[in-house]
Order: sequence, then structure tokens, then C-alpha cells
Amino acid sequence: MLRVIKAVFKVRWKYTVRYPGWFIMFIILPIVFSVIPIILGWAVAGSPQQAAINFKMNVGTPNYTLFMILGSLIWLVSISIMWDFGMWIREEQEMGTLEQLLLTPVNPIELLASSTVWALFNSSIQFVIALFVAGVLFNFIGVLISPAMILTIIYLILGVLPLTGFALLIGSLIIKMREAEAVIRLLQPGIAFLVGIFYPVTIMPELIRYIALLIPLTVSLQDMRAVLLNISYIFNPQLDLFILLIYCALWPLIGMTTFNYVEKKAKKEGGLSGY
Amino acid sequence: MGIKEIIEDTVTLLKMSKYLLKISLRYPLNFIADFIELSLWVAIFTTAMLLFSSPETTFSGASPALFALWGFVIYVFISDVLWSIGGGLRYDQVTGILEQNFLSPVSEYIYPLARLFRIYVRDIPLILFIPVAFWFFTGEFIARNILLSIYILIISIIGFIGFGYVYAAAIIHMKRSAMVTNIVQFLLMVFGAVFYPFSALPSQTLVISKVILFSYYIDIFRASIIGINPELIERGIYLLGFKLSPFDLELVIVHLLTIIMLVIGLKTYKYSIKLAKKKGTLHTF
Repeated sequence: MLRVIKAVFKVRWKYTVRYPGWFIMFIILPIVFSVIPIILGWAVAGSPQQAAINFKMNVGTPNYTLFMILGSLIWLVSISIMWDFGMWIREEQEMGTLEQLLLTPVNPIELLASSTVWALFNSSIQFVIALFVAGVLFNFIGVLISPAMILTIIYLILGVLPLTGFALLIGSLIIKMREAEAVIRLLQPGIAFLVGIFYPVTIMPELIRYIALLIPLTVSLQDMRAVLLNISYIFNPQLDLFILLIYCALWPLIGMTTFNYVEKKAKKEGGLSGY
Repeated sequence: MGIKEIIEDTVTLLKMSKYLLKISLRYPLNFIADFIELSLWVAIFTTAMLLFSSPETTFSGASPALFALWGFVIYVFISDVLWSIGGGLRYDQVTGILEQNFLSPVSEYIYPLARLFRIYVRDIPLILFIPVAFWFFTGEFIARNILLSIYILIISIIGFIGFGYVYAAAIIHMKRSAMVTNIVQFLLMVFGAVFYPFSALPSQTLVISKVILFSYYIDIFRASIIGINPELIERGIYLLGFKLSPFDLELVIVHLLTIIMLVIGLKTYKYSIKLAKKKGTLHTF
């Protein structure tokens, strides 16, 4: 297993060094993405000052820039992790090498685990850099230089780890469906909508809130905001942590079971190479 | 170029568009996904907007939601140009058919146009759905000066095609289509004030907006369809004895930009392909 992780790290590192633009882009993108609702907020409120007052009235904090940036950052991290495995499968399918790959004595779960470790490592670095760059740009750096930041990173990792399960589910979908990309594409705004990248999940109708809670990122993001912005947790810090820990075991298990089933079936029916 | 050639090229363009459209219609789920995706994004941004709301806020007498609605409509046209012309060339390069396409006895201008035409045809229902989605989530809808607005849209599309060719020329040599397209799109979203009025931008940022050519297309289209004064041109001028209002002046600017972009686009694209053919780099990526 360690050998696989090392090999995946080596390959990914080479890619990162060869295409540094993507790494930089990942730092810039969430900032630019957050600027849209921020300026929209200024437009709606009439001025940045009034925007802060209105936002505080509705959300409980005047620091709307950090609120929005945390949302778009965690959303992008989640996408890169969930898409990574799925897109790898699609690329192999398109190049016609998936069948050969899955017939080799390498366990795809091991490959995914290694990819996840890399994605976690890479995303955490990008997350911290992007947050600090945004902190300098939007003048909230003081909030970030505090012990609360460590807790924020813990929430990030606990929210992102269960996404391995989602990645496996997406991988299964790609193997199973010809038009899986359409469904996966819907996951991007779907997750952004449910998780509440630009608003607190508490403003949603009760039924949607319960569905949103099934996504680990909802808990993780709301609690990160709670830690840094002193707003309310989903339930309370202990219970939220407990839920996230359960998700860390549950979602990968669901993903693994589904992927194994779909892979086995596809091998039997010979549908691995079709897309 | 004679009339016969123009007719032949148009027929080829239509045939290629039909073929490309057929391929995309083979994936209906993708098409449906567009509508759901769009609705979700509108819901996300309008919900975010509500957190800052105070009911009496308007810009030039119009609600910010209207700026977002019509900004988004014209943005779809710009985005289609970027993805279909630049991204399309890159896709053909990756799949290894670009060289063959350019060696066939079809004008090199037609293939990117066919891709764009296909996307525009496919996107018509989506574009018609945007106002519905906005109205559903915000309750706002205004569409004035429809004929003039459609005319402005057509002029804008011709200008975008010119830009598309410049972009395609660059992509053939840059080989970083997806990343560049993303950067251009995001810059446009922020500085082109797609989702908000230009007046919401800080004054120092507005200078950048005024340098971006697309800003004028977005501004004039919104001014026409919402029925307000343009935001980027505040004062009119006297030209050849005629008084031009800010709207007229921006309309003249947009026409000039369209001609300039189209001429530059066609020239650069042709030069770029010639260069790539000479160097033998058409198929490399």
C-alpha cells in the first residue's frame, strides 16, 4: 500500500510541477468565485458597509468575505477530490485502457486511497494558501492567525475524507452509465446548493436541511464558519465531530461496496470499455 | 469571394452544424442537465443575494436581479464562443483530427463556426429558460426595446466571433485551452460585471472594466433591454454636428469594436494556422 501511495505521489507531483498553472489557478479561482456574490451583495445593499450590516442581521456575522470564501474554497476542494477518481476512470475509458488497467493485479481501491491521500495533502496546502491570500486581499488575515485555524483544518480534513466514498460512487456511475458526465456535472451545483457555499444551511427549508446533512461537507463547512466567525454550529461541536467521524467510516464503506459490485458486474458482462 | 462560393460555404456550414448537432443530441441527458444546473446556480446566487437585501435598493431605477438576468443571457453567448471555438479546436487536437480537418478542401473558417452554430442552436431553449428561472426565483422580469436588443445581440455575436477567431489563433499555439478559458471567463464575470451593475464595482476596478471590450457589449445590451442609460458611458458628444446621447455613443463604439474584432480575428486566425502548418505543430498538444 505504501508503495502505491509513493508511486501516486510521484506521478501527481510530476503533473503539478509540469502544469503549475492549475495549482495557481486553484488558489485564485475560489477568490474570484467569491467576489461575484460579494459584489452582488454590495449592489443589493447599496454599499459595502450596508452589505455588512444586512449580512450580520441575516447570518450573524458582518464578515461576509470570509464566509463566502470559506464556502467556495471547500466546494472546490470537494470537487477536485470527487472528480479526481471519476475523471481518471473516464479518461482511461476514452483512451481504451480501463479494461487492461482493471485486469492488472493492482487494486483500484488502493489507487483511490493513494489519490485521496495526495488530494488531501494538495488540497490542504491550496486551501491554506488561498485562505491567507484572500485574508490579505480582503483584510481578514487577523482572524486566520489564531489557534482556531488548526481546528478549521481538522474540520476540513474530517469533511473531505468521507468524500472518498462519493468519489467511488462517481467512479461506479461512470462505469455503469453512458451519460454519467451529465449526472456528475449536476453534482457540482447540487452540492454547492445543499452545502450552502454562499449562505448558511439554516435558512433552507427543513426537508432540504436534512438532505444536506447527509453530505459531510455541510457539517464541516458550517462548523468551520462557526469556529472562525463565531456563528452557530450545526448542532454543537461535540455532536458535529461525532457525525463527521461516523461519515468518515460510513461513506467510504458505501462507496467501496458499490464500486466493487459495479466493477465485478462490468467485468462479467464485459461493459468496462464501453462509454 | 463570389456569391457561388458564399452559398457553397453556407451549405457546408449548415451541413457541418447538422452533423455536430446530431452528435450532441445523442446525449439528451446532457441537455436536460443544463437546465437543472442553470436553475441551481440561479437559486444559489439569488439566495446569497437575499442575505444582503434591503428592499429599497435599485440601480438607475432597476433591480440588481435584472442586471444579473440580462448579463447572464449575453454571457452565455460569450462563453459559448470561448468554449466552442477555442475549446473545440483543442478537442480536435487531442482527438487527433485537427490536422485532417485543415487538410480537407473546406475553408478553415467554417469548422469553428459550425461548432459555434451548433452550440447556439442547442442553447436557444436554455437562453429562453434563463428569464423564466430568474423570474421564478426573484420575481423580476423586464424586457423593453426587444427589436433593438436583438439587433444589439446580433452585432455582439459577430464581434464575439471575431474575438473567437483571435482566441482560436492563440489556442493553436498556447495549448492550454481549458485553463485559459476558465481564466478569461472568471475575469469577465468579475470585471465585465456580468451578474451585477457596473456601478456596484469600486471606482478603481471600473477602470479595468472599461478596458475589457466585452464590457461595452454587456452594458449596451442591458441598457437597451432594461430601458436605462448605459453605465460605462456617462456623457454624450457632438459628432459631425449630431448630438450623440451616451446610449448612441456606446452603440457606435460597439459597432466599431465588432468591425475591428472581426477583421483582426480573421487575419490572426489565418496567420496562426499557416504558421502551425509550416511548423507542423497542428497535431501537437
